[in-house]
Amino acid sequence: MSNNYQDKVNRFITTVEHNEPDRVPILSMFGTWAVSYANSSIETMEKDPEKEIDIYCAPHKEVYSDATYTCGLAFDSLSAKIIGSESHFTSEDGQTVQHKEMVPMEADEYDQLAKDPMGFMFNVMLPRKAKRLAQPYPENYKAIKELLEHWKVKSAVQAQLAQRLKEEFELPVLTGSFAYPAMDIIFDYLRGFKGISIDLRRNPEQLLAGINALDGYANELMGITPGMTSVPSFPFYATMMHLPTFINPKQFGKFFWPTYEKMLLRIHELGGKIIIFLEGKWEPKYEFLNNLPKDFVVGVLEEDDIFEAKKKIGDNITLAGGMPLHLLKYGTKDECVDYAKKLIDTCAPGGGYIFTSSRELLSKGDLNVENLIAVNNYVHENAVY
Amino acid sequence: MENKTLLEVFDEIKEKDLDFLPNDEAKEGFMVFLRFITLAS
Repeated sequence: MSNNYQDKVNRFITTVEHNEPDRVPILSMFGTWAVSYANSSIETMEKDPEKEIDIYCAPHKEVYSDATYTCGLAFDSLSAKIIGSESHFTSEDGQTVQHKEMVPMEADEYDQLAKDPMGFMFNVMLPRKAKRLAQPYPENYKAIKELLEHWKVKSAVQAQLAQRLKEEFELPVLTGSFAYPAMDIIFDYLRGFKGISIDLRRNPEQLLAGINALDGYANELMGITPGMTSVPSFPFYATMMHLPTFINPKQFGKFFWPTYEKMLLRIHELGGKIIIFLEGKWEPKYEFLNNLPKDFVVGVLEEDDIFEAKKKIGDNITLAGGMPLHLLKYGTKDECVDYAKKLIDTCAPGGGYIFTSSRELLSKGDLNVENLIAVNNYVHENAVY
Repeated sequence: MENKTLLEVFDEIKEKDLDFLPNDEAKEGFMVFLRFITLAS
């Protein structure tokens, strides 16, 4: 069997088109778990950025996969520290990064957001959230310049990491640009959980105006400009869904979906594909996924029953996931392999299935690595079409 | 010294500090990324 880089890429594209590739593709979702696996720390990467390469390569020496979902540590503690924000910090274990919700926006400020979204977010909100950005010029310039220097180095390191993954492990990185839903921008960076929950009930029209105002910025983040006529079918665009699991289908349809659906259709129109991390439970919102163009979306299931999902949305979108983390942590090797076999037998026929864990791996204790090695090897060797 | 808003600071960064990038398209892409990382951090 061939396991070169392009064969692995083809495995993903073929299965997303609901055709059967040579074998079921396996996706690795190694977040900060890679740091503990490499017996290292976040601080080590902060002091010596090139260590990120060794750390994020380490698991691939033992654990087989056909692609990795991202490349290195995306949201680090140091970026927040540089601008004087508390939004991300290193946990006590020294190996994971936590996000602290910050709510710089008040409920009565939607008019300002709607009128001038960029000016409001960057000139008004950010100084409230990050101490160094609240300082007058040139101190605010120095803070951004420091962040730029940090990411100049980090971007170069992550480019080297992607190259090493390709050369040493023949491993593609599945995600390219992010498609960030406008409502999640408000949820994640402006109003937080409590704020947006209140706004949905007390200020729905202002909230909707704010979401619509951020449509342009959300599109800018995708990197799709008006003159573009095509985008590559690989790597995929990616969305981590944050708010949807906390709102009902009616709210989702009115507030979240319209601007996000437009983004998705634009990607589809240009020939791209997208992987969506369907965080939480999504069954009540399956109709939205079934109304999207066929063979375009990969949905990573977290809490949904994948066997039911296969029946209900599996003809339209590709499913990824299904291997429960709790089983990988507490089960025996045989129990894990038996479950992987059941997943393959049920979900793989006809294509449209990617084998992976039910969640991204973050902490040392998330699973028993011997079980992960066993199921990935089983699928790699036996899930042949 | 005149004060500058953060968006004006980003403009100054784009003007002065992106010589390590090969062309305007790369500079524009990096600025989108840098603004986002700032917002997300």
